[in-house]
Amino acid sequence: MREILVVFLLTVGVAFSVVAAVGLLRFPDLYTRIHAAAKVGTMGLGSIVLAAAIHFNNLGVSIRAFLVIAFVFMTAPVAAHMISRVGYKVGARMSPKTVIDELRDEDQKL
Amino acid sequence: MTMFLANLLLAMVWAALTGVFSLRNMATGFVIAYLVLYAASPVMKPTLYFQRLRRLPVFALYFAWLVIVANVKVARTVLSPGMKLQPGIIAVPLSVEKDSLVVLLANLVTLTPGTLSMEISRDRRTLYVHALDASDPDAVRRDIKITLEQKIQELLS
Repeated sequence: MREILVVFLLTVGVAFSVVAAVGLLRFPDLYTRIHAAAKVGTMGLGSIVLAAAIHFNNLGVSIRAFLVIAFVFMTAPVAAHMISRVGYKVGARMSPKTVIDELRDEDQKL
Repeated sequence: MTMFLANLLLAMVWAALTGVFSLRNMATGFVIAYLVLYAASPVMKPTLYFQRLRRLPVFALYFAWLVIVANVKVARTVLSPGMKLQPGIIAVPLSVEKDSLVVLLANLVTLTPGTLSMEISRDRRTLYVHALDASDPDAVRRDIKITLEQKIQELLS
């Protein structure tokens, strides 16, 4: 039973990591690429670490796994936020598919 | 916070007394310590700890569900051959005021795929969110306000 859960979580984790990598290549601009890297990647890592915690089933590993997940979930959004923000400030090109930019109006006001 | 530490400490005492330091036994100890503290709460300083902790697992499960659903959606976008992207930056007016809540909200927005918090206005009233699908900006605004902001306020009220 536990093995099934571990295999399932590992499969999900690997699948999402692959999707994150594919997204990184296929998305058109900096901002959409961060979407793929920061989140789908986080989810992939989360499932893999969870699988490790369930597989080893001892307190030390579980606590470390919990801390890894907690820290990744706390820091990944901050990194994504900073990269996209700086990218916008230095004028990183936005994909021509972009339909709306409500931050541009705000920038002119500031 | 002090209550949480007391609860954690009592859980460790439980683990030490039963002699089993496994995660399951610690969790059992934590629940028992929570009940003991709750029983003793009438004679202690009033605290919001008990209500908050009770709401936390529900919120965590709800958030995990949101993350999974949204991740599947993004995965589908990434893998679809035509890749119908309509990205854009959307201004979301905030009703939460405390800085810590704004940070929490911004992080949760980033973790739910499809949206990424980019910038916050100087008066801290508006969050600028980059969305993968910005074809309907009002829907994105509504989503963030209903699925996340309201829940955070309920959790911490």
